[in-house]
Amino acid sequence: MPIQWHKTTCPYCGFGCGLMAGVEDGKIVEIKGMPGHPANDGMICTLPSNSVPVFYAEDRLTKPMIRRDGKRSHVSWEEAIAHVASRFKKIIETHGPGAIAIHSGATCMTEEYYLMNKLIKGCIGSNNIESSTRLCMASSAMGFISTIGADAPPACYADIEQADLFFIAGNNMAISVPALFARVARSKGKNGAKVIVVDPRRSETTGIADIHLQIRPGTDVALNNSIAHVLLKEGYVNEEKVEEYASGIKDLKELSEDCPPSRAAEITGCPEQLIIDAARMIGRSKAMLVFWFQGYNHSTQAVFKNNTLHNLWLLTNNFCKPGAGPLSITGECNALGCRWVGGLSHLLPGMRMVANPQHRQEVADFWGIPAEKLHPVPGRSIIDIVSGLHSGDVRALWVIAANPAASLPNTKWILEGLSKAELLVVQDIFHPTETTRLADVVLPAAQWCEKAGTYISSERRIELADKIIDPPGEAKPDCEILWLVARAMGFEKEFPYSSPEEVFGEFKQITSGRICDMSGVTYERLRGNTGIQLPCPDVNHPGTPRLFTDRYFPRADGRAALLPREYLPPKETINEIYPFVLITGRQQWHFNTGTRTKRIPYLHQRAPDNFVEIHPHDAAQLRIQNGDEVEVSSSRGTTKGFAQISGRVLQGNIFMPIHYGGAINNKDARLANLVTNNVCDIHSKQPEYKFSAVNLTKSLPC
Amino acid sequence: MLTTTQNTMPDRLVKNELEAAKRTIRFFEAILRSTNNGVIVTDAAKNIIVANDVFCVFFGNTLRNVIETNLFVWLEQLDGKAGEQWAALAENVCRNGFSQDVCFQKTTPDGVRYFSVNASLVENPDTMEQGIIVSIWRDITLQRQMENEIISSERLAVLGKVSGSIAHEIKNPLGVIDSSAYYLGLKLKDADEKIKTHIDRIKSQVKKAAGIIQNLVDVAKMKEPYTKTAGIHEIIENVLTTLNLPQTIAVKKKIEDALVAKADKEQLEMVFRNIIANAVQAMGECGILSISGQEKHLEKNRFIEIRIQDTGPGIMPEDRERIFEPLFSTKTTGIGFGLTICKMIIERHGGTITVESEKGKGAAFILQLPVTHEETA
Repeated sequence: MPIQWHKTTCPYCGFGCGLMAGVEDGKIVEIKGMPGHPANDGMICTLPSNSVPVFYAEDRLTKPMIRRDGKRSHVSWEEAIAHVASRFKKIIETHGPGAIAIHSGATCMTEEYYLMNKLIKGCIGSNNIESSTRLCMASSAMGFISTIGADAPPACYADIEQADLFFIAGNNMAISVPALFARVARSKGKNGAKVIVVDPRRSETTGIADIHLQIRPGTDVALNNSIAHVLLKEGYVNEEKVEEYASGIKDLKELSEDCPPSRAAEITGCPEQLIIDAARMIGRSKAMLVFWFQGYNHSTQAVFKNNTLHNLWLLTNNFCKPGAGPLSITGECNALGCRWVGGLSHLLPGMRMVANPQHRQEVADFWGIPAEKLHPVPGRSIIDIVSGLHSGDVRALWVIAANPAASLPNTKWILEGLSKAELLVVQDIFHPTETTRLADVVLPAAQWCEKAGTYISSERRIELADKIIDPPGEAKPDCEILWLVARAMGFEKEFPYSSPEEVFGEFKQITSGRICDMSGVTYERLRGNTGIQLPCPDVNHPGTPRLFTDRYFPRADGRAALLPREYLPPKETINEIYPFVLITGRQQWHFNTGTRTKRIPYLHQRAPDNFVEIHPHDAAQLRIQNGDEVEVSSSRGTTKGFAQISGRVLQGNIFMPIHYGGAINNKDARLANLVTNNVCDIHSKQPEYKFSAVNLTKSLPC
Repeated sequence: MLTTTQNTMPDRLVKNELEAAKRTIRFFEAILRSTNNGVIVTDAAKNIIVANDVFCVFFGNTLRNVIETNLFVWLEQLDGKAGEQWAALAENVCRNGFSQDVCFQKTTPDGVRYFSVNASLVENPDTMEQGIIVSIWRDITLQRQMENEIISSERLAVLGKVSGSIAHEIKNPLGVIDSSAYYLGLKLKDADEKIKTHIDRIKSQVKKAAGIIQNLVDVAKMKEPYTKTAGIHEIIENVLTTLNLPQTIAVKKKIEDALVAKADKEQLEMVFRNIIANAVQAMGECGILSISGQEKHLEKNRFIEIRIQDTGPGIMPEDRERIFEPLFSTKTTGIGFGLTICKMIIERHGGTITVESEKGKGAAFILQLPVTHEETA
C-alpha cells in the first residue's frame, strides 16, 4: 500500500508549522513540512522531521502502573482510575481543595486544558493549576495585559515579509524556531530589512544582525529605557499622535530623562554609540517587527522588560499595521491555547481572570455551579506548588505531559518537594522520565497523531491535529483519562463527553465575544485546512490576521499604556565564591527536557552530553581546555559538562543547555537546573533561569 | 478656504478643552500626592490603575513599578492570608458599595507595620466596567504601638493591684509552712536521710515561692533605685559566677575596664542575670554569649552601652515588640516577668533597653544608661 499523507500541526515549538505525516500499514513512517502552509510553507526543522522513533520507542508507556510498598506494578485502567479518584477525594476531604494541584506541559491540546480547568477550578474548587506556560510565556502575558489591556498578541507571520526592521531580543530563533528564522533571514535578503539582535551571547541568530547589542545578562530594561531616551530626544516620536493611542508619555519622558545611552552603556556594557545607532535605526523604521523570548521572560524583571519593549513600538507607531508590531513566539506548541483556556492559577477560561468577580460569575453560570465554588484568590504558581509540597499545604500533584523534576529550577529542592507528595500522579507517554521515576501512579497517555485536538499557534491560528494512528497498547488520549477520573470522583454530570470535538464544542461557547472568540470554529472547518486566526466569531468569518487595527486597546480609556519601569539588577549577584554568571538555553538537537528528543537516536547522537560554553580568557585563567569536564556550582547544587571554549559568551559569563536530566542516556549530575535559581518575577511568578551566580572549576579525574 | 476655517475653529476649541482636561488631571494628581494615606484604584481584575506614592512607599517601591501591576502581587508581601482577606473585602464592596476597616500587617526588618484599609466602589459614568474599587491605606503602626503601651501599662497596674493582695494572702500561709518545716526539722533531728531531704525540699520550695511573690511585689511597687557608682565589669562578673554557665557556652567579654554607671548595683545585677539567663536558655546545648560594654557619644550625649548577644534561634518579629510586656513569655515554664522587670529598672535609671534579632541569627539586647556629670568630673 502506498504511503498515505495526513495534514497535521507540529507538536514542538509554538510557531505552528504545518506538517504532513506519512502512514503505511497503520504506522507513521515519515514526517514532512506542508507546502503552502502559512507558517512554514514546506519548511521543516530537525525536531519533527526526525520524530518517527518517538512513536515506536521501546519505553513507550502502554499500561497504567501503581507503586505499592516501593514497587511499581501494572494494573488495569479501572483500578488505576478508581485509585486516583479515591485518593484525590480522600485528600480533599481531609485537607481541603487547596491541597490538590495539577501541572501540565504547554504541548497539551486546548480541549485537555479545558477539562483540567473545569475539574480543578469548577468541580474541586482549587485554583492550583499550572502549565509550563508559567516557565515560558507568563511574563509576556502579564506584559501584554499591563501595556495593552489583554493577553492578545496582535501581529502575525505575514508581517515578516513586510517589515523593514526586526528587533530580536533575548531570543535565539535560529535554534529555537528555525522556520521563523528562515523567513526573517529571507526577508532581510530579499527586502533589505535590517536586524537588531539583543543577546548576552553571540548566538547563531546574531549571524544576520546589522547591530548586535551584547548586553550583560538581565539589563534589558536599562537598554530599552535608553533607546526610548534617544527616540524622544532626537525627534523620532510624534508625541501628539502617540497620545491618541497611548497614555503615560509624560511619565515615560521623565523616566527616560534619567536614562541616557551613556548610563545604559555603563549598565549593559554595550558601547554608547552602538545603543544610539540602534535607537536611530528603530526611529527611522516604518515597519518594525519585534520578537522576544525567554531571554526576557526568565528574569526577575521579566514583565518590566516586556513593558519597556512595548514602549518602543508604541513610541514609534509601529503596531497593528502590515509589517509592524510585537510578535511573541511561544516555546511550546499550545502555550497560547493554554493561556486562553485559563491553564494558569490566576486565569479562567476565555481570557478571564480569577480575581474578577464578573468573570467568575460568567464562568460559574456557564458551568452551572454557584459562583462561590470558584475560589476568588489566584492559586499557587508552580514554584509555590512545590513550596506547598514542602510545607504540607499541597498533598497531591497530578502531572500531565510535563517533567517538573527536570524543568524547574533548583532541582534538589524540587525533588525534595515532589518526594514529599502524598500522591504524585504522572501522565506521560514514556517511562522513565525524571518525574515518572518519583510517581506513585503512572498513567499511559496517547500522543500527537494518536489523539485529536486543537493547537493555537503564536499568531492566534487554531489548527486541528487529528488522530491519524492508534495509540500503543492500552494508552489513552489525555481527554479520556481526564473525564474518566472526573467521573470516578463523582462529576458524571459535568463530564458527559465522548470525544474531544464535544469538549471543543462546549469550550468555544465561553469564548464568545472575547478576543479569543472561537464561536465560528468547528472541527469540520479545520479538518485538512491550515487553520483560522482568532478571533473568529461566526462560521462565515475568515479569521483575524491583526488585532487592534482600529487603534483601540481594551483598557479603561481605550489607549495602551506607556509604562515607565525602572531598571533593577537581577536578584543574585556574583561574588568571590560564585564569580560567574550562568545563562541557560536550548540547542537545535533537543527540545526542553529531552523526553522525546533523547529517544530519537539521530538527534541524541548529535548532542549526547551537556557542555559549558566558557570565554577563552576565563578558560585560560582556570587552565581549562576544550573538552575538559568542568563543574558548575551554585549555592543550590553542582552540575557538570564538557568545556567548550568560545568567544560567543562574554567574559565572566558561561552558557549551558537545559536538556540533560538523568532519566535516560545520561548521568544524573548534568542538568543545568541543579544550579539555577528558583527566585521569581513577583508579577509573573516566572523563575530567573537566565541569571545564576556560579563557580566554575575543572573536574578532578576520578 | 472654507474647509480651512471649518477645520481650524474646532481645532482651537479642542486644544482649549485638552488644556482644561490636562489641568483637571494635574489637580487630581496633586490631591493624590497631598494625602498622607496610601490610595489605590483597582479594576475588576485587581490591576492597580491609579496609585499614589504613599502606597508605593508602604511596599518599599516607586509608583513607576507599582502602576499597572496586580494588587495580589503586593498582598502576597503582607503577613497571613492577605489575599483571602482582600477577596472578602472586595466582595463586601461589590455588594454594599463600601467596606469596613480591615487591618493588614507587614513584617519588615524594622518590625511589624499595621495598615487599616477601607474601600469603596467607584461609580464611573464613562465606562460600563464594573468592579472598580478605590481603597485608602492608613498606616496605624504608631497608633497600634501606643495602644499596646497603654494595654501594657494597664496590665501592669492590674498586676500591681492583684499581686499586692495575692502576695499578702500567700505570704502568710507560706510563713506558716516555713516555720512548721523548721519545727519539724528540729524535732526530727535524728530521722533518716530521706525525711531530712523532704524537709529541706519543703524549705527550698517555700523560699522559691516567696521569691516569685517578691518579684510580683517588686513589679507592683518597684523600689526607687538606690544609686551609687557601680563598676559594670564587676557586676557582670558577679552575675556570671552566680549563674554557673554550662561549659558548652563560650563567653566572649569586651568591657572597658573603667566603665562605671551611677546605678543601683543590686537592681542592675537583676537585669543582667535575667538577660543572660534568657540568652543561655535560648542557646540550649551550646553557643556563644558575647557581652560588650563601652562608653559612646552621640552628638553631645554620652552614654554607656552594654550589648548582650546570643547565638540562639532569635526572636520572631511579631514577638519582638511584646517581650517586655508583663505576662508575655515564649518559654513553657516562664511567667513573663523577667524582661518587664528589666525594662522597669533600666527606665527608672533613665536608660533604655532594646532588642535586635533576626530569626535564626540570635538576639541582642542593648542597654543604654546615661553617664552622670559626677562621673565625668
